[in-house]
Amino acid sequence: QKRIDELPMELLRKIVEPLGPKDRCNVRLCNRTMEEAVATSKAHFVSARIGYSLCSLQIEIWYETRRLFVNVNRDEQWRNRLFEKLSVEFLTLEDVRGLEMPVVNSFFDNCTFDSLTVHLSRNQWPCSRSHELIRKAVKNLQISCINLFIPTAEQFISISRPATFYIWEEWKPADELFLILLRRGHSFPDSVFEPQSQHSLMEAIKIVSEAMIAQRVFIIVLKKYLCQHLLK
Amino acid sequence: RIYPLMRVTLTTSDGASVTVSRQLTKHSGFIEKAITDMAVDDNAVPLSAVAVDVDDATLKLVIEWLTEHRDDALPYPEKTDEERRADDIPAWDQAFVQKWDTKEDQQQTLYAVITAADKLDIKGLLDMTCKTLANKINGKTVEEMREILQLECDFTEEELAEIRKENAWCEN
Repeated sequence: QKRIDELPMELLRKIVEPLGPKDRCNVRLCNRTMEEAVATSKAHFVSARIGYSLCSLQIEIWYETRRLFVNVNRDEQWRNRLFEKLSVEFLTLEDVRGLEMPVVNSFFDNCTFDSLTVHLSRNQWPCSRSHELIRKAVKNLQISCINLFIPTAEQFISISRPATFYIWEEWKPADELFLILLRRGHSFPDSVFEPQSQHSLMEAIKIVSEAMIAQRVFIIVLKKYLCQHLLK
Repeated sequence: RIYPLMRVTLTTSDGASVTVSRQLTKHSGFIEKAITDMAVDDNAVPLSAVAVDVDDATLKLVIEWLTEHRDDALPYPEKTDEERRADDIPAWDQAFVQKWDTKEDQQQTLYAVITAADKLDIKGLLDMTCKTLANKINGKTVEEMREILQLECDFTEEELAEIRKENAWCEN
């Protein structure tokens, strides 16, 4: 009679891989071999949100259709031997200051994520650690500027990879800055660009239409800038 | 190039021989490598035997699965995180595994097929059987898991208490 714990460790890891945190906790308690399989396996979360809930900073984890919370002040050992590598599809970082907390920081050890959304306000422009995370997002990067915050030109330029910026305040960038940001591949789906010259207008359209990745931007076209070339 | 009419003879660990179409064996990385290593004429019929470290009964199940999946795309696609879930087993595969329930020891069959899929490098079958086993323990208590997997606890009380302490966050 063969037992599951006689299978090679590589296969045991594969078996526990789709399990969520609660099942992993239970498998850990079965016996030593299964505990080792869990500790050295990969885990996948649909989404994770690092932000405040009822005044305390938490890591909210979604897997399958279930949700769990890690209290960063209390659950220091939550990740201990629960998995070796972690992948998250959608990660939201609502307060970059949370990265100063050891539990939040350790969340990102051996962690990959497809899509990252960072909420930024005046006092929270990315530190070097959050810049590191911004570089790590495999597919999409979204930056949501909250609390009436509009980044400065230097702050915009410090974002080294294409991002989608959600700016909730009215923002009227100079043509030169806006064209630089467009050339960097950024999108601004909630902002409206009003070019100050026909040249800027044509340049913005040219950049977006030639872009390798999809970009979204709203442009106000004043009648005086309409020309035969543009109408074509 | 795969020649669908070409046949391959597989010799099992318990001395049986099974001849199957190359259309089925192309899904096995192990058999394909063995054929390549033998450098035989692709048109040779029948092909020299390939020895597989799998017993006859298990190989028959593997061949049944391969027959159903003979037209699956190759190479086997790498799963994205979104697809890496245990509740997406195709209906035919679920019925295939359900059939084993009538056998005396279904768990043993599942372990044997998992091991065979691993040895023969059949990624689709390995994925499906591992997910099936994961589904069996999904949502179960520790005691239920131990019973399903026929495991004996080899932790001391102190070790169990330590793991329970680490797991406490998940109970909230």
